Amino acid sequence: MNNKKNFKHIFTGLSFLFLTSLVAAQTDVYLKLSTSERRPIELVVTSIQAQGKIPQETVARVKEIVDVLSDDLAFSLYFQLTEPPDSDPGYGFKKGQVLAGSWQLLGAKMLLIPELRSDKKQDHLKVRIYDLGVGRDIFAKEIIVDHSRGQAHRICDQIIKALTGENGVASTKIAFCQKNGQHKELSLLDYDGYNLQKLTALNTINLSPDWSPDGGKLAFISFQRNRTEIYSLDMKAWKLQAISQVEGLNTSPAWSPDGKKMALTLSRDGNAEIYLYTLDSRSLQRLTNSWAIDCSPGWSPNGRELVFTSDRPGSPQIYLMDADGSNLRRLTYQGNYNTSPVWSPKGDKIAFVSRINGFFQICAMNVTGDGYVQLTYEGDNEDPSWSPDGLHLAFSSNRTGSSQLWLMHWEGSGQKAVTNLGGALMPAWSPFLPIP
Amino acid sequence: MKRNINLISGILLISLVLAGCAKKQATKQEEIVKPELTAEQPVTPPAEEKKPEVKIDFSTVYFGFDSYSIEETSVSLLTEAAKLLRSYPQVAVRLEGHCDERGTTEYNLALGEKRSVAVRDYLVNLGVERSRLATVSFGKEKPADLGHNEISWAKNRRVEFVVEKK
Repeated sequence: MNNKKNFKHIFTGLSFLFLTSLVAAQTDVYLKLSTSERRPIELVVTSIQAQGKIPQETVARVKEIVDVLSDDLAFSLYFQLTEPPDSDPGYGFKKGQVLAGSWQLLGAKMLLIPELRSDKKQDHLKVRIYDLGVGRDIFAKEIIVDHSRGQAHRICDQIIKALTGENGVASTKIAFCQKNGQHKELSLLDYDGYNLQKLTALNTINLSPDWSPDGGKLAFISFQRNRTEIYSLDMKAWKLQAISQVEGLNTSPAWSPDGKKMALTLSRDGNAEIYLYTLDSRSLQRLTNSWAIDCSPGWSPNGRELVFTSDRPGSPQIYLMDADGSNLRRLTYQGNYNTSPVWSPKGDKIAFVSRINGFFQICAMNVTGDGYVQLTYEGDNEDPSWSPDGLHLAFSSNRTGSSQLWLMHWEGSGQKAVTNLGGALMPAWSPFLPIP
Repeated sequence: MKRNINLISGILLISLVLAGCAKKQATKQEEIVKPELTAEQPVTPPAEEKKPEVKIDFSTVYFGFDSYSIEETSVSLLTEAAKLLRSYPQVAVRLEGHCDERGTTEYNLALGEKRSVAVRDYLVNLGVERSRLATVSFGKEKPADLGHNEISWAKNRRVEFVVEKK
């Protein structure tokens, strides 16, 4: 709920995002939004409207699902949520009809009306989005409540799809490394930090998870044989496959957007260089050629370019090259430590880690190297990973004393911890996942 | 006491035999016999003295922040390490490169690799066969000191020698 406070100042900066996203909207999208609205929609989630007599405890349990949905909508940045007056649960309704004026007084443009009815065995929740301007529902979805958070996440994504034509991130996951004594194992979370699931129990150090573009596999570094090697975990077949075990370093796996190749860091030729590994043919193409460290490749969303870290100027800096290794350009000149670049799925920004006043901070810049902004300020912050819609970043931070996973919006607002574990790092935000 | 003397003479006998076949190790053997001067010390059973224990202690090599160049202060210990490796050709070592906790995981894995390769290349230049020097990087994953200050960090930016074969 704290998020809501932080939202106000985000919105000015967001206008351009919505301009681009709404113009690209599909035909089945709610047209009013796609033409005139360029700001987050002021939305009030009303109290649950019970149809007939429903026990208070049932209403309270359904309220938990509605709260998850509200948090999802607020985090999405497509909506600005305003609280309804607590004192009067019947506020703004008369005989089941919406009193538009009462809500518009609160600044609302739309309402989310949760309607609950119960038959003998099941609770039916109907989620309505009511446009106060035109006086009718523009979205309605009825579900049989199973009290899972996933159900709320799916409704949020359906609302965002229907109203904006964009995919929402509420049903996405975050893979990460969970500290376990001397070991680090891969684990999985819902994007909001719930539903912790352990993926590996290899009793070793595992690092740098990277999702295949279809969300079916995770590539990662594993020290199973006391050295860096790259493996892939098939999350449907639950199988582990070795990808790269050559002499020297085998690190920083990065699946290409088409899923056919993987950019890797190998030192088989004597020094850390970036290679392109074609998975089907198992052929290897060397992309960099320098005496210095080249590592941490990240793909442009169209698969034509790679951003990476190189210390060839004497300190680690961010470089850009075409996917065949040509057309090399240096992007960062600020400070003497810039690493871990990740390209926004929207294509317009690169987030990275920069050492500022002795601390490591998440920063972002345009893909042209200008527009440098610092996004974090407390403690050490590392491992940025974009949400698949490019509106949010997951990262690790030790600002509370131990390394935990945090989320923030693309311009640095709304920073919140989503783990409270013995140690969590290297988040990898999943692509949009197929709805189960 | 009498028994002790017998044991010691046994050791002396064996060491003389060893000295005969391995000239270079003669000085080592004299050291092992030293216990006869301090009667209080327990005497090691002669069985263990059959083969001279090759006790090779390599010093850890330390580095500056974000650096993989061999520092002046490491030159003498690397020279000593090369001498040891040349004296014991049956010994192979794994050079384990490490970093301090600052900096990003993947860059530090590459940095640790650079450090271990820098030590390997230095030893190769001093005449040690490359095939006896394996390199591996643990990045910032295995700190020697768990503190969060410059003293700890300095201890963690290192290459350790791990003896693999004797």
